[in-house]
Amino acid sequence: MTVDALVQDARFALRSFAGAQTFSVTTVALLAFAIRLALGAAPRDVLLLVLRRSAALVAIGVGAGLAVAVVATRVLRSLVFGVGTLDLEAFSLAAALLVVVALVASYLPARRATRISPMLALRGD
Amino acid sequence: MTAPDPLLIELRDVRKIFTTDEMETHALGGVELEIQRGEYVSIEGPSGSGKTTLLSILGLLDTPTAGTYRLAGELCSGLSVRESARVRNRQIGFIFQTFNLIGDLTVQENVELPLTYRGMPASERRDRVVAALEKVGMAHRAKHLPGQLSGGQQQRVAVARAVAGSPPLLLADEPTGNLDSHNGDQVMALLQGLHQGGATVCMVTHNPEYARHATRTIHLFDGSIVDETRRGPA
Repeated sequence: MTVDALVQDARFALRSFAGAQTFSVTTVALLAFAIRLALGAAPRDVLLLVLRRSAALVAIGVGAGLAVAVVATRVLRSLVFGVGTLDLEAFSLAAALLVVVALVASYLPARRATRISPMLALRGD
Repeated sequence: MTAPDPLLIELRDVRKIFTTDEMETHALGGVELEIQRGEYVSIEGPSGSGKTTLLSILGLLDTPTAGTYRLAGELCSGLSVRESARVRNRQIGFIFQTFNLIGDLTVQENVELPLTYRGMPASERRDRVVAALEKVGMAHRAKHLPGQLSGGQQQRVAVARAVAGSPPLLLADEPTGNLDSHNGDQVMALLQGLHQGGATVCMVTHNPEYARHATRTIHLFDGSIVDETRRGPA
């Protein structure tokens, strides 16, 4: 994987995040995958692309979630007895669970993307 | 080093049948075709004559039901999906009617895309992208997104993407179909220039005037080649 690819993935994730979109295999995305396949991407390249982009989205979500959690626990500490300010174990477990669930969930559309016919690019629909 | 075989494309008795629950459609029936390196071939025919099916088989986007296809000496019938992708990437440059640039990639990234699947070093990719964009007069738009370009400019970028990897074969499917006559003429002039530079071009077109740019026109009807027109070098 090249630095360029990482930059593209991060840009895609930021745009998606800003647009409050989730990564899904929409018609536009399907056509983009078909174009990539027509231009010589192997199915494995498309699978990795979808997983990488999902991971980039998840990374942004986890980062934002952790930041909000740190602030929220400070507020809760003054309101609820027994709440610590920085429960590393809970934070790590929650983040790890989210990453695993998100990647498993993105694997299915990723597999679907690999089975797109590159003919779709020629038909353009 | 030996010179490459002048025969670039060889189709033998290629047939394509689309089967649905209710019927069989014979899109191509026993097509025999040879295209030499450096030829400029246009494919003409009415709707449903098999033009797009023929182009999709030539581009390894689809597989024939029967018959053999050799591209640059390599037998392409029966290749795996992965092998077909490799041959497409190295041997074929595509120019689509709807441009097919990827909207969230810049012009530069779009042109670079087929090269990334070759595992080419980044510095070589950049050099090729710059050269290809300069060839089509779009180097000044390298950082733009496709949505910021006109249709004619998008198609010029698509031509740059097709030639960046120096493939021996350029396949164009109605390359002017979504353009006005001015932009269409510009794209045709680009193809003409590429052909004069030695590229082998195979183009589907409905436009008889543009078809005359080619050195040979193949007329398809009901899935068969019914006529050919040869012209001197343009």
